[in-house]
Amino acid sequence: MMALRLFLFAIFLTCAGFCNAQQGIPICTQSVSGRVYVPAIQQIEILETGGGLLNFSSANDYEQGVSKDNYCRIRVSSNSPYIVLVKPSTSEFASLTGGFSKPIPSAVLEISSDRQPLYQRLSPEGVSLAQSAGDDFMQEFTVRIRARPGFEYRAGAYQMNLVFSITTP
Amino acid sequence: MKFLSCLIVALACTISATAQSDGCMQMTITQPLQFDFDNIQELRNGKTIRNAVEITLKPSVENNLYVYASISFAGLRIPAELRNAISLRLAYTNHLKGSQSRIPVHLSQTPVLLFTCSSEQVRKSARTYVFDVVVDPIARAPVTDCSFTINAGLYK
Repeated sequence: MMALRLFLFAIFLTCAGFCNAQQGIPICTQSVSGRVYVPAIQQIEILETGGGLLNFSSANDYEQGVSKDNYCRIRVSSNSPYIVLVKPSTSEFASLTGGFSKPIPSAVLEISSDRQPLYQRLSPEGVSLAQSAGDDFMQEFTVRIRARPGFEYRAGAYQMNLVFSITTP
Repeated sequence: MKFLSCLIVALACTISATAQSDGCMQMTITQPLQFDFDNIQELRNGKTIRNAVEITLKPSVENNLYVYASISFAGLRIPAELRNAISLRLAYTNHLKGSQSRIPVHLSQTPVLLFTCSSEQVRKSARTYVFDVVVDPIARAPVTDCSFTINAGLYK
């Protein structure tokens, strides 16, 4: 009987020692907590510009139009759904050479991109150049412009600024 | 009866040993672990909170020690990019011996070895390890607001 007791006691001590030495069980544990916050982030950059000068040197240019295929490159970074819009800064071109001319409306200028290949006339409300569900995160695309003024306007130099923006649809 | 007494004494010794080792390590934060990303550049560069987490080993424990760490996340939308993007980088320790690397230790759900510490050195005085908490670039992270918990375990 005594031998049995000693045997059981020995087993108990062995178990206790084993549990303490077991590698898979930590002696003690601690923890700390933190937070990561990523809001909806949208950014638009104009990377390079091929220049916006459209030169009309023949009657055919006025009639058929003149285009610039690499007007600029746009880089869009967004982690949420977005739409890229372009608007004219004014409703008409400004004359740089002076003299009377019928105002040239901004809609004379047409614009397209890799993402929206069809030319669209500019409008004060803005024209969409690209849109996404936001899962592509970063995109670059080229913007093209074209003007077909016809013969209604006086010869001269005219200027207009374009405003690119990114917004949530 | 004698057997029962011995059993109780042995049990008491075991409980006592466990109670001693419960307070052998402390992990605290010295500043909030709050990673707010405000713009694309921050997402592209990642963020670091320096000297943010401090682990102290008390001088009462025995045997060679291993500290393992893991991370868990909670929240509605946890980006896949984030799951392995957080690491602990040793910034300072008063324990010059043992195995400690300044290379960031990336945390995951599975515990990874943070550092080791030998027993003799621990017995003399408390050892302090201060870590930077680093979030790698997560340029493609979608909108998220999640919390994380860094767990550390001390092993013999």
